[in-house]
Amino acid sequence: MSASAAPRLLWSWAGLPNVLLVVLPLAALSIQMRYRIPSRYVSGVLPWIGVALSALSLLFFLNRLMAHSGVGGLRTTAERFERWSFGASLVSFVLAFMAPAWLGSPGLFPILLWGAVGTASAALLVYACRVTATALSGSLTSSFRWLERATLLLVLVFVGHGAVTLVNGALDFSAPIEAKAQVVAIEGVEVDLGRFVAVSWADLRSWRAEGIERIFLLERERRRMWPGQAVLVSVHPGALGIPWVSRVIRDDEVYFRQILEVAPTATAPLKHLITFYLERQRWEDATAVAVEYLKRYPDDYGYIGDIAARLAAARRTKETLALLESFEKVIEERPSYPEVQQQLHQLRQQLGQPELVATPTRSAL
Amino acid sequence: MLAWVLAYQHVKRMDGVWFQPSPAGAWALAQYLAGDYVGAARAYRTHYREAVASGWSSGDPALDALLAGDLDRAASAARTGTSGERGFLLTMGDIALERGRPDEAMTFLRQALQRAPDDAEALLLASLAHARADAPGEAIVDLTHALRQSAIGARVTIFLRILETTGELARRQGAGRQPCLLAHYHRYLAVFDASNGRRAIGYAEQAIRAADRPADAYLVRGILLDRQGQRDRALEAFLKALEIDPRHAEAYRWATFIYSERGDLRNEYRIARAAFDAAPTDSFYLDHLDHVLMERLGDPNGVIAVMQRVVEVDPDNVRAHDRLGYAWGFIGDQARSMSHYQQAIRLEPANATLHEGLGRALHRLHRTDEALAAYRRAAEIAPRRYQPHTGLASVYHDGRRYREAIAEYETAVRLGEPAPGTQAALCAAYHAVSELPRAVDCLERRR
Repeated sequence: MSASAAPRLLWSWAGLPNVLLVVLPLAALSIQMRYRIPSRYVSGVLPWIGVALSALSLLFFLNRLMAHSGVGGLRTTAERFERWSFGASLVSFVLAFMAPAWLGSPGLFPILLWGAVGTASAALLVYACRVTATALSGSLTSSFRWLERATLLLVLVFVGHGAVTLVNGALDFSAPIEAKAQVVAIEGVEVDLGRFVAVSWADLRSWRAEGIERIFLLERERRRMWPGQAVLVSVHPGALGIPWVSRVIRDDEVYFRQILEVAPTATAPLKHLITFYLERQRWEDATAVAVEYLKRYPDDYGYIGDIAARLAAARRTKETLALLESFEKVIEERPSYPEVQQQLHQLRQQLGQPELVATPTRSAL
Repeated sequence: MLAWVLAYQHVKRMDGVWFQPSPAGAWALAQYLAGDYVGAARAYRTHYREAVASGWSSGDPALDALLAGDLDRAASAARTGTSGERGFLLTMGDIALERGRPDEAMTFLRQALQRAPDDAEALLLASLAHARADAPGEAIVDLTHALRQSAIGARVTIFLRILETTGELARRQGAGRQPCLLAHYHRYLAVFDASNGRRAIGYAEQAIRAADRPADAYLVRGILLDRQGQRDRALEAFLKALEIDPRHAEAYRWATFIYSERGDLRNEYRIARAAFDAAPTDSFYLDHLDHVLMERLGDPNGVIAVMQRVVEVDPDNVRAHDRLGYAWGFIGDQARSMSHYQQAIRLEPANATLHEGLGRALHRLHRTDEALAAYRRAAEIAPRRYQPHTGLASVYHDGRRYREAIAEYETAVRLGEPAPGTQAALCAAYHAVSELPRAVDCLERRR
């Protein structure tokens, strides 16, 4: 054996081509799902990648089976195995329906039935492989090799695209820009990449120009998305200058405002909206919604007190006072709430406005 | 090879009910797989007849006699049996169907349904009786009602009878075929073998083309598409059903499931509300709307609006008064809350949760003695509930009656009170009576 032949043999016997055929496209797909580059084409190519991989696995197997020197002996053994296992399956199947009644043991039924199914499956699999390998003679070998290479090229292009995506995304450490978009359509396909992988994508009304952007969706995003939904897209510039998307989330501002249109007295969307604005430091919006909440639920002073405290902690004096003024009106109407007085007192102390502390107390008296 | 893989995939998803260990069972399976449902049902009956003759039992002597084909023995076993009045009525309905007397079957089944309107087995038998009496509309209504329940019962005679009826309907030609009813029975059979789902969709599409109850047909189509994971197409079907029949409460309900899974609360609420408007007296839709309003939207005003409508239609609806009591209490109107709890208690005095609600409202109104009495009554009715004791403890605590509060807190915790706040209040009560070692020990346990 020559020195150059040894690694090739090792490569072939270790089954590495087949392993790589599964691992590399899967890795490429997962990279493209992680560092999503908006593209209308990749989703269209995906089903073909699945077909190419299935064909390639079969071609690898057949090419090697046809090249195998000791194939004659293997075929005889396979034929014997098929006969025995088919016979055993038949016997097991008949016994499955007869034996439990004869022996009074119903537990035998599933064991014998699944035994029959298992042995018959094995016999059929071996039969199919043997017949295919026999039918394909030497004249087809070279055509098969060409087909194998052409198919491999398609897979390699897909894997290469994954590598570019990885470099563009993984080396991009910039902060994302949150862009507003709207879901136009959601589609998906099941791709056979050694195992079936469900891949979904969404067409979004573009955030950068007129037109549509197509991006892959993660399963958790797909489940919570529908056509017409307003979304926020986190867009990064990309290390190679190709913009990519790290996250697609529901646009909570639009979502909760839409809920309030049909359920104007609901507390949950109002509270979520307040949190949404506070998280984004949109203090004026948060205050406006908090005031609206207070008008509807004047008894929930604990919650509003908490919001006022958060505004005060962020040193938003103007907004905190705006909320406190609404609060004061409530206290004047309902002076029997000593907790409110106390809370207001604390909040004004937090604001560093002790001269205002006495005011509500006096009005309450 | 491909055929084998497909056959294996098919068999793997079938319920155990199709596989009966006897030659008759094997023949029944073969006939079923060949598409002969009538032949399969008869062969399964042979299997069960032989099984009962050789000593097998379903656990119900009346059902065993029915499976053995001895209708007189089944009737006498049902009269003297242990399965109660429900079992008697169902068996008599089953026997009447076996004798080809659907009207007689309906008299028994109506009685069963008066006692329990959501009894899935009674509804399925009623559906079969209507189908036998050539009343497909009623058969569909009862079947749809039965399949709303999470469990559809284990009475094997129902399964066999539906299998047989489905086969008989499928053999008919022309207008007598009733594709919508066929789609519904295949929906039932799809519970036991998913492959019937495809047939159900096929029949539903035939029904839509033939204008045979198209709204119901769209509903079946949507349900089966939903089971196949095609949620968007399923939703389209439900919305189509609603376009045809805007008062189809069940189509609304299925649409809300999809909106709920998506997290589309706006449409979930809108559609749940429409389901309630379509069937305001059906507690099934009311419960869902109540859940959406209170748990998802946090909308006590919405709950009040809905429940007041229920009370207008049905002034003795205990659940509506209960929810009104809760919602008014949540908003802060304790007087109204108390009034609704009192009305609910008048209608259902042995319901402990109503007394607890009343106790809560009275406590907030500072009517301490009455609140204590309400909580004590709740504890008498349900001695294993911790809630009345937590309520009693909080009333005592607010009245600075710490010793009594401690006793009630301890009982609540012993009965399983999970709220950390209660445990903290117990520690505070120990501290208030200067039982400092117990207070420290209590706080240590809370860490």
